[in-house]
Amino acid sequence: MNELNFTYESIDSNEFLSADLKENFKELITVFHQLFSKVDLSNFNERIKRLRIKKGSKFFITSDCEYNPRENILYINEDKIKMVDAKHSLMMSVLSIITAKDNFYGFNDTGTLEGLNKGLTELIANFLVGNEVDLDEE
Amino acid sequence: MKNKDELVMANLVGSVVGIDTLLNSYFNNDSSYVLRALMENTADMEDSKKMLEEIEYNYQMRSKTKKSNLGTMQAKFIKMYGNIENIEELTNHIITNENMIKGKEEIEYPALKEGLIEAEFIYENVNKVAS
Repeated sequence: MNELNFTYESIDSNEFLSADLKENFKELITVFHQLFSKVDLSNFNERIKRLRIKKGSKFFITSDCEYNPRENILYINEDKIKMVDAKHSLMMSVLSIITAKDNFYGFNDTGTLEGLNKGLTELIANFLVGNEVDLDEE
Repeated sequence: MKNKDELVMANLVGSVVGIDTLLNSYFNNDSSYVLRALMENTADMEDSKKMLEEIEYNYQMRSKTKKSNLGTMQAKFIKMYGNIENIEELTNHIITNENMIKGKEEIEYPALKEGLIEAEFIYENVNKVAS
């Protein structure tokens, strides 16, 4: 997987992430690249070098985790992350990082399509890694 | 599922504009592909903007009120974009789970059956035209 070597190097160069998290990011970006090989990863490569993960206030971070494109920080809601499929959530975050631009990600360029954008991110993440919590619910 | 309404609506939008358009829009940070494709599939262009606004309003309000408008949105969407080519696919994507209509989630999803009723109505008309 030579095309991804540069991406792996970018992940490894991040001094804020633990070794386990780096491995998780590598696994997920590999899965993504296998199915979306034409998508440009240069944005992800740059952002992942300086990505930080922080505990977010449960009053502001209403989802289990939320990526802030402007700060390049992934905020975690500790209460909620325990109740979801972490792999699925991290894949949603990876998608947010890949498509991040200015202060939005995906096609929410007007700031009015956050919901639909979230739905598509969920759909792609389901397609790539599934969602074990949903299977349990069914 | 945390973003159930949004997932359903993304599937419905994808069925009308095509999944490639939706992904192009997403990976190129440009909503105009989706909006343009939606407008091409409806008589009134303003309706497409209103539909997207309604999806967003439901998303923003649901986190506060815990009440979903998914059923009404599904029905409206199918009425606006349903046709002989896509009605089967659109119907597959709408949520009409009986447990959700009658069970404890009834309050959260008060109009869930509306989408199915609308789809059945279009089905009937499609069949009339076909026969």
